[in-house]
Amino acid sequence: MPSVKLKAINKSFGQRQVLQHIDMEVGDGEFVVVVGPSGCGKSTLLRIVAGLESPTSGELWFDDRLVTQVPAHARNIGMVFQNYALYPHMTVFDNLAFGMAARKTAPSAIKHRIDEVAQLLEIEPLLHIRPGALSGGQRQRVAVGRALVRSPFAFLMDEPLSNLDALLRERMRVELRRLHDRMRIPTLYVTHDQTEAMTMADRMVVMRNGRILQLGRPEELYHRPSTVFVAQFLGSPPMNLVSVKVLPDKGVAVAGKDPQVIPIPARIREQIGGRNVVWLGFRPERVVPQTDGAVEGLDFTATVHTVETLGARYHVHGTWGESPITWVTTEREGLTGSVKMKLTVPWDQVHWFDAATEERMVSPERESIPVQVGGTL
Amino acid sequence: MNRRVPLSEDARVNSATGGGLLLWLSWWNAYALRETLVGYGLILPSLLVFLVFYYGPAIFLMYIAFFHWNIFASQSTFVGLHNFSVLIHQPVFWQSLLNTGYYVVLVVPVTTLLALALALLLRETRNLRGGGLSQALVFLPHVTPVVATSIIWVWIFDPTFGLANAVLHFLQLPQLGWLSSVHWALPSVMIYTVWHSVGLYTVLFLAGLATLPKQVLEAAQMDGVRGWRSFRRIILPLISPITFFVIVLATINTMQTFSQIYTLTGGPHGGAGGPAFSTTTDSLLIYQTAFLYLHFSLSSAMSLVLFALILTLTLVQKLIADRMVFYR
Amino acid sequence: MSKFIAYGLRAVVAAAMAAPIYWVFVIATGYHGAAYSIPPVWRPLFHWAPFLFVWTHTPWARYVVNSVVISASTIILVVVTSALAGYALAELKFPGNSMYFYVTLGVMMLPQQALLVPQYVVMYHLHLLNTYTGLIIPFAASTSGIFLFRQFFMKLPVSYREIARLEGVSTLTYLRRVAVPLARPAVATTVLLTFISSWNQFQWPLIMTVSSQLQPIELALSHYMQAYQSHWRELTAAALIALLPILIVFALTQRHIVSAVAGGEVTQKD
Repeated sequence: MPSVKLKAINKSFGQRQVLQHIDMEVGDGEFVVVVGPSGCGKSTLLRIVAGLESPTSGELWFDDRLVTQVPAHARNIGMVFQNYALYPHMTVFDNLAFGMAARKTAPSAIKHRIDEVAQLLEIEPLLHIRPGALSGGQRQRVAVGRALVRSPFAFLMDEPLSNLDALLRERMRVELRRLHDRMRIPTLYVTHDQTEAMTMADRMVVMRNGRILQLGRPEELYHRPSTVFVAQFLGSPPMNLVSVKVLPDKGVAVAGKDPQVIPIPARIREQIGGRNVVWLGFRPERVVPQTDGAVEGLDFTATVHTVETLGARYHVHGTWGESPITWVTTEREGLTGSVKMKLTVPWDQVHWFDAATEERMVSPERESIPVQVGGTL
Repeated sequence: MNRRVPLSEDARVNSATGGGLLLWLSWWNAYALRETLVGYGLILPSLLVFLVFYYGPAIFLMYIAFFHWNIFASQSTFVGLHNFSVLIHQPVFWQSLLNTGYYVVLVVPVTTLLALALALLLRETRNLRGGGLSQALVFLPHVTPVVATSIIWVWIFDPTFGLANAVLHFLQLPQLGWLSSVHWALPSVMIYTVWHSVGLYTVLFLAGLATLPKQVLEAAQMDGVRGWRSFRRIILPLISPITFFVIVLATINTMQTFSQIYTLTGGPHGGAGGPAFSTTTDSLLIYQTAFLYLHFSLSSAMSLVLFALILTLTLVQKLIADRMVFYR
Repeated sequence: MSKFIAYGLRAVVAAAMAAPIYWVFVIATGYHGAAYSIPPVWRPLFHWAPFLFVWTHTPWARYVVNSVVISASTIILVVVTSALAGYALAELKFPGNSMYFYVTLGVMMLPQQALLVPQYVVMYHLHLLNTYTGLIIPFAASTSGIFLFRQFFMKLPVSYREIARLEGVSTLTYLRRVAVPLARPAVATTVLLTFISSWNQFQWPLIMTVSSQLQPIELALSHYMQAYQSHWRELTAAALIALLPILIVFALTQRHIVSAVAGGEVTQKD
């Protein structure tokens, strides 16, 4: 059962601690995406797994083998770099063969293995040309091929799609994921792009400032973000966050000249406890027009400012009290500047965060999160 | 993993992390150690050459200059400043310093100014036909072997049949004795040196001019700053770092001129060093003292003086430059 | 108008710079008394017979071979030592890395003329006087070569080396198969500059060699000059032997040489 386990990994460069107590696992056949803003330590994490850096403390296990002290080349890792790192003066074949030749593999075995991989990735026609003559997508595939020829124990990918244009990136996303579904090699994938993370991952890890903020299936993180940061980092447009004052008994009030008072269910009020101010969050796509009493939810009135047309839907930017908010609708009608709209968000789609710790307070009342078919945990 | 009974909570934590730390040290240090060893291995070949043939001799020089010393008899006695006192009583030593000074003081400014002028000329006309060829021809003398081209220059300087006097004749100027004249031998060498080296400095100036920020020049042109004023107020300050570099390089190079002096004024032309020692510069005298008269200690003392002179000059130039050079 | 003046001035300057080299051809391939003509001859006749006479009556072939052997060996050694040290300086972390940078730089600061005597003594004790080795080894490492390779290796993406590390490729294999082939411009520049300086060597062979068997071309030429003074046609023909290889190499690579000397900035269009 190939799996990669990180136990209490810490890493400092001098005084600066870039990774703090990282615990995570990439299970058998799993595709785990680490996502976070630049400088969050995700690349360092990947390089520690590869053996290009050493952790300051902690353990790294491949299956039941402790590899913390195993040098990089003995870990049998296939790695794909952001710039692909294909040697421009060698043909694709020589690029794929370079590592094996250095390990003194028999030429016939090298040829056999490269043919196998080339067939799998459909790069046979490219084998005898140089990387300079390849398109971005082809280079990407060759880089994957080079990682694949050694039949790696695990795959490490460092922002492999960020050098491609938007359209190609979308295609390669699907292609990489399909390849993974065939090979089922544990994969640790690092990116700063939340869409990539959401669409590709079996499980994802959101990192910030060297810490793991949340770890779980994409749906889990999307629907139950554990912190304000995760809530805003995932999803586009990002989650609306509104600071509200907690009223003694009735409910909450939005800041502004004419504060709207919103009654809240007793269950939520209970969990808010003695806090004076809390963050209230809801996703733009969960906002619906008020239909008298049909939906139990957060009712409020917002002022429309601008409308972005995306074809199938519209992004409406407006304000609720003094807080800017965004919502998504498919109805263009009646959306003009400074129109007031009555909106609602079902209570189970409203997220509550502590204003000081920015951590989640109240779980929405939901039975379950839609589970991806075939997803492994 | 740890079979021993832990003494306390702290001890257990320590042994766990301590063990991990030890393992980490062993691997990462082994990697770092390997990289260090590989690094030393890679620099070793060049380091050996530098130590044995450059730094070693430089240190050794300090030693022999203060000893009475003979290479073949392998006898050496400490004589303190004796070699230097012998030196200052030799008129030819002072003559050589004077010649070197004369030579450097003329060659360095002339070469630098000429190189700057040529660079400006080549830059202004770079878009006209043959720009590359002109630049190549200006640079060409610098890559030619000194002895081979000295041969033709000896002919050029020939008082009777040479090109130099033919040109003077054409210009209706008095003819000169050139290499065979006490007054003109060193200037002849200077002319050769300027011809041979100006291309190098021209190319360095061109490189400096190429890095000038285009916007600054254009802005100046829009403000109506042109010609000499633009050169004096804008270009000159901007290329002052490269000018400084050229002057230092030219000084170090001219102070050590040897090959052309040896070939142009050697043998047939009044003995090596020109008629009446008129082209005997310090490097020629160092060579003659050591390899003709085999006075190694004396030659070393001279070398040390030259060493100190070059060092002092470079430092003085650096001090002046710090006040005048405009670093971007 | 001023453009034409500048253009004309440039033509005159370029011609003046090339003139002495041009006259080597004129006199070497001219008629017998060409050098003694008043006014001077200015048109080459391309008589190659005197040139062949000079070539066959003195063992120039031997001297050319000496120069070729010395230059070729120096070039190979300089490229190797520069690539190795340049790589160490650019890519490897080891205590003393930055110090070695200054050690390399310092060599350029040492005045060559002041070192002749102690260098001679070192060569004497190493028994390298009057040997090929003695003419080659002191020039087997070069500051500019090391800096050039360092510069180039620093431009290579770090991931090139890391891929090699993950694949278990040794440093030397990586250097030989990846880093040096990718640094071809640095190799070319080092080869050219080393060729020019080593072909033009004069003073070092002058003090190092006794036997005429070892003389490189420039030194042989200087002896020939003393023996055949004022035999201008013979002298210039001999000079041509030393000059031609340089002229040919320069004609083929002048753009590269000029930009190499200028630090790779001249040929860049702004």
